Amino acid sequence: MNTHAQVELDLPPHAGGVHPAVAPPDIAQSDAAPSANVARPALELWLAVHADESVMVDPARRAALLQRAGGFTPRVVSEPPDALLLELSGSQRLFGGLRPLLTALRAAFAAPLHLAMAPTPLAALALARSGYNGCITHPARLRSRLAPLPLSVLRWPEDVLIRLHDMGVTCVGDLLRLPRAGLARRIGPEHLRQLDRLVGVSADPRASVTPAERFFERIDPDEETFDRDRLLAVLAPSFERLEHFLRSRQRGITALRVTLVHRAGPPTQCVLRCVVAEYRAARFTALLAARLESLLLAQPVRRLELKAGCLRRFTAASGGLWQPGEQGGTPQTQLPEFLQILLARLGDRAVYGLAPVAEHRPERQWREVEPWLPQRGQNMSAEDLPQRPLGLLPQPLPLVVDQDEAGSVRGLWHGADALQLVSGPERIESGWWDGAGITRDYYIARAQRGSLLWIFRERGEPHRWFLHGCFA
Amino acid sequence: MSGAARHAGLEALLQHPALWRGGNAAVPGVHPTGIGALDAVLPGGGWPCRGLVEVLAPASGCGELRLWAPLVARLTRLPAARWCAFVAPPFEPYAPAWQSCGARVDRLLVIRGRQPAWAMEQGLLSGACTLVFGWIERLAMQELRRLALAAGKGDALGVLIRPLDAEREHSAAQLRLALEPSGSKLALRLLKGRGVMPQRMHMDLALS
Repeated sequence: MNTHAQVELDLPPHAGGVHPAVAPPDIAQSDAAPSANVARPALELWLAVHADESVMVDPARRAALLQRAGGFTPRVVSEPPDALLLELSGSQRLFGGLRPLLTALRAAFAAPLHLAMAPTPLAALALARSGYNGCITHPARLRSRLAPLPLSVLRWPEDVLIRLHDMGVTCVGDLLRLPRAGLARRIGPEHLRQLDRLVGVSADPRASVTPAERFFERIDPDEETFDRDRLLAVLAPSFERLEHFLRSRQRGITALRVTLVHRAGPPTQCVLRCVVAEYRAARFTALLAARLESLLLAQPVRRLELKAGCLRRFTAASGGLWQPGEQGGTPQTQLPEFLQILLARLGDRAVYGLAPVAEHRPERQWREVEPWLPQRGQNMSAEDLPQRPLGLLPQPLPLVVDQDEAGSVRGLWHGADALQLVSGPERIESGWWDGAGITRDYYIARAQRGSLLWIFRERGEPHRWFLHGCFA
Repeated sequence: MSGAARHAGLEALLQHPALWRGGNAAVPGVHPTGIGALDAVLPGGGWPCRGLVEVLAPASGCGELRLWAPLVARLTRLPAARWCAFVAPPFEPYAPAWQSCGARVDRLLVIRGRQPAWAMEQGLLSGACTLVFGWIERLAMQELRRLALAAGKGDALGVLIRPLDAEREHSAAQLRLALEPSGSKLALRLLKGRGVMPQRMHMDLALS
């Protein structure tokens, strides 16, 4: 059967994609009608895809329909329980005109789906629900096409339909002929508004759906393998598909989970993290190669699973004139790749940036930050600080103290290195309020080998001495 | 032959086009060290802009980083500042101290992990870092050469901080210094540098 024959075209004789502006219909001319003062909506072309409710309730089939619709236009509206709406005015040129577009649509949404095209979403829905397979592009013909339809296609509440039936109104045409004021009194202003949207007198803005999508693939290699290169080769086509998936959506991902499933034992998980949204197959391959290099596989891999994290918007960078590293190469584009490779091979905690914290306890005056995130620095003003060492030990290191019987210090050693106080004390007392308070006297000491150290003595008993930093 | 004539003969010889003198070796570009006495002895009059430098120190805290603090401050303050990375430091770079010597702390990066030589090479090669400090004790000649090449490619300066024992080993670094604190002064021995003779100097170094 020729599917194209089903499409009944209702194009005006001069149809070329441009339509003359339409005079407001007479129904809108009465008392409270929105008319000349209302901004005319831009000429739109809505396609309603009507299916059985059983089709649309099934999430998998619904998702498949949404995805296919996404191939035609970014403006897809879900119309539960039984229809989808596609706004196609922007897609005509891409498909080379209305006829090729309709042919492609027919191929994508084959029977038993009903397709109807109209300048307003409600009209397209009504036509599709009535079983009309066709296309109305001209707003002037909308009313005459809608007139014979039964009222049930409007999907209004039962009591309203019964009331209208009792009034002798049986089709949409009868409804459109009634005077507005009386109609509003009888069926309520909301339904009158819907009628205005149906015929395109007032605008009907719709929020389009963006289907949440994840990329997931499961690959079973021909044979179980330990070999990294073999694994990468097996995954290469999947990475290509992932790139295509992301490219076609103009999205990137910042996390990709690669699961290596073994015959026995728990699967090996590799989570590849990207600093900025990434879509290139080559980058994923490089990251996985770096991760596999530092991974010891206990068992051969019999199955691979790829699961992408959520899609993120990215701005495609224009390629630079300079190769990375050449003079003129900008750091903004190079840091992510450099960090990604480090994170992939050394682990998440291996790379960090620094940020100052407004505190008086030396060990809390800084914190680790993720270097790729913009930072809001809490800066202590530099003048406030007396001399501080460039390097601080993560934990204060106890010093060996030589004391006489009275408890006074005769000598201080750091290992075998005798220390000699150069300056101090600088008293730091802080943090009594959160249970991690310190009361310390800090000194600068010179070791025998010449290094300058930052040491402190606890003011409380037992007056222990610690090494806390070095003036590297 | 009189002294003056001999001097003139030497001058004439030095003008000979076939004669190449180490002192004339072009240093591609230098950053001032911020320490006048040091500028005077370093080849080209400052730290090289790219390449590999070795600083040999007997222990942490001899001034091996304080020497570089003015350069770190200068490079991180540039409008399009690249990163300054610390690979496997034996301590945590202390943000407030770096801030008080004028460096921008949000341009500092710490890299730890089991493969410091590889991480340092990546940092130098990437072009994202302008200065990479590495605390790596044992390095084969080949690894040193790889680091020197990476620094050239990535337009970065690598600074290796190693113990004094490393002096006996050969090195691919273009500049080697040994620190020997004596009293309140810092003695600095220039072991190797393009176009300069090994020499020794004393200097004062501010605490931070």
